[in-house]
Amino acid sequence: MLNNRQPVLRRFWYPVMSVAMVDEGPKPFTLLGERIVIWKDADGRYIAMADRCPHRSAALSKGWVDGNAIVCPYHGWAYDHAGTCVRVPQRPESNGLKGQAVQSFACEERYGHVWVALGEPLAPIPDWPEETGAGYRRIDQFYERWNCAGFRLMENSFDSAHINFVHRNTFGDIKNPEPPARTLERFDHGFVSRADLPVLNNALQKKNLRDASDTTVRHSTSTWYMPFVRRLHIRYPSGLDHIIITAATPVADDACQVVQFCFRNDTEEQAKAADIIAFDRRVTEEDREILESTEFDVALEASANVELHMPSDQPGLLMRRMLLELLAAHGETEQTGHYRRQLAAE
Amino acid sequence: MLVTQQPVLRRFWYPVIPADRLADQPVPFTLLGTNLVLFRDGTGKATALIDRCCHRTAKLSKGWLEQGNIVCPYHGWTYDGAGKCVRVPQRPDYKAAAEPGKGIAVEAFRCAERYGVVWVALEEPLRDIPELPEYDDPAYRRVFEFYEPWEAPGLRIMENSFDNAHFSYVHKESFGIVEEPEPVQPRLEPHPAGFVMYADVPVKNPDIQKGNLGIASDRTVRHYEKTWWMPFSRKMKVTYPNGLVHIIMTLTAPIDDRRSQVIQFLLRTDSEAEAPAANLIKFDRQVTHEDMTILEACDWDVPLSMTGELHMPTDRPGLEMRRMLAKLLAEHGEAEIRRDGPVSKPPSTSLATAAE
Repeated sequence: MLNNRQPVLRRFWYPVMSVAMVDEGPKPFTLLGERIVIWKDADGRYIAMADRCPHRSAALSKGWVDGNAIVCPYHGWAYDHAGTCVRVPQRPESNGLKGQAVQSFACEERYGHVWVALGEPLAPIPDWPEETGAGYRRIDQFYERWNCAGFRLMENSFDSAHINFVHRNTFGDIKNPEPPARTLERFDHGFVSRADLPVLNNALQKKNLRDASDTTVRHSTSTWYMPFVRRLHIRYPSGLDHIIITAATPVADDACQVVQFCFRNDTEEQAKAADIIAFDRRVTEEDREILESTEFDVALEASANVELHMPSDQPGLLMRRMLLELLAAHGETEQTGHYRRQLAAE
Repeated sequence: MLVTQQPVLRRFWYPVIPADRLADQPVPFTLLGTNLVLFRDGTGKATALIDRCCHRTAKLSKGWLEQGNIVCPYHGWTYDGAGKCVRVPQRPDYKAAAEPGKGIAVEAFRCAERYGVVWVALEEPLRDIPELPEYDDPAYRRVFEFYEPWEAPGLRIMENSFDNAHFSYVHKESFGIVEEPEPVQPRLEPHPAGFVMYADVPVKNPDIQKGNLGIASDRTVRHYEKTWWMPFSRKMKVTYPNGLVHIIMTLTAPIDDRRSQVIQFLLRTDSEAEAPAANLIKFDRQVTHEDMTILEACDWDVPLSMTGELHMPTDRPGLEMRRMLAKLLAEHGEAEIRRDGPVSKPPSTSLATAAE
């Protein structure tokens, strides 16, 4: 599937950057190939619109905010949150232009991040009660470009079999590679999956988990929010919750922006945020190293015979099926290079 | 010509890595745009597989070796030197198919070791790796020079090797005689590997070369016997007036349309005491850097037809290469593919006539 060529993917919410970044001034982002600018007006609204002045096509993200308008850096034309041109400085007698001049998009602030949907959203931004739950803190972890399809990161998150190999130097036990069983329960735009994963407990984790044993069990409840967001809720035997939210926001067919933060029910005195980030950093780098070596045009259609599968691949295969159903429900077929290659081979 | 778009070029042996650099780690290599992983199998044999696990497409070259089998770093699926999957760790009961070509496997390519170099052919080779009798001749010592990528296609590097007119300009700091730019005309003869060219070329003999050659004069003559190993390698045999033979093997493999991986080594009839290898390498490095600077500044899409570039009589070896490559494409029903698409006319086979 080539993300950018599937219009229905525009109808989901994606976190694009932290509010702190936007508070510094207008910022550019590329979402599903669409160049957008994110900015905040004087009323505190976060706004997403096309990053292109309709006059001479300059990037508005290179401009500045003046009150409730973003000002194009080329000739000073100014636009409000709805994309209406409210000022053309060269024509002081006018009050801008009639009608919408710049396309604007749905934009919300949640969990310290700005979320954007390019089309009418099919599902709400997920509710994660820990954001306001007593005893929980949120730690922002990563914001970076990965050169792989967002789908690869989603599939990886639900793949119990990769831990023993990819994470053999952090928490995976390469000597016991048989993956444990996993449950899958679908909901409208995603699924929930549960597994109890025996893992190794290295020195840093002994500190982070306040657990001195060499092995532990992760009781994990993972949720996939179609298409590119996951929540991984790990409950350790001590009752400690480590809840990782990871979005692989689609930038292009072959690149995604990884936005990751976590919720914890301990305190900074008990486990330093820097240490928690340090461990998850190592784990994430291990995934990145491998995922960036995979092909980005993931075949959703099993009959394409592009990849082989095994039982622990069930979550990824269900993602593929559900995405195919989504495409079909919106009158789309999978856009991919695989069939073309297949035809050429025949 | 875009080398990655000409399937017939997959039917040659290419030198991909010096044999001693392939040890206990897998090595990635891109050949004609195809990603390969190179490693030594359980018997020590050099092996080339597609660098893509058939499960989730991860690069095998990021994995590791276990008893000569390569382990995918993503889920541990393990492949032998023939590409057959011999282990799926998640399925301890998994048994590899007994029959060759059946069951779970990744594509394996022909791989051979000759002249201290690992060679790969992506498809059934049209011809063998050429003969190099001096390699095993005790009269010759071997001096490894370098292994590195150049931002230039193989055809440019080859043409340059057989071009007598560039010495006075490109090599004016090393051995070219800038005051005498009129080039020696080469003589070409057929050869099973491609063609052989003869020329006797007067050259400057700077101080470093006086030591390297054991020749004290400020000038000397190189008696060249250069053999083109179609498509992108050459043997350059230089005999000096004192009988010294200096053979430069320049073996290149096309990485993609614009880049080549170059292996260079020497075969010499003198001894380390007479000319230390470090000094030989020092001078040849100067010369090859002079070439590299120019070749990386040329258009990588070299035309096989006469049009598109202007020519002069000393360009004949290069034009002969183009003619022979054009003929090869035509014989295999291929049009020449350029940056802007296929050349509409089938490549002409009478280029040599046009050049004369």
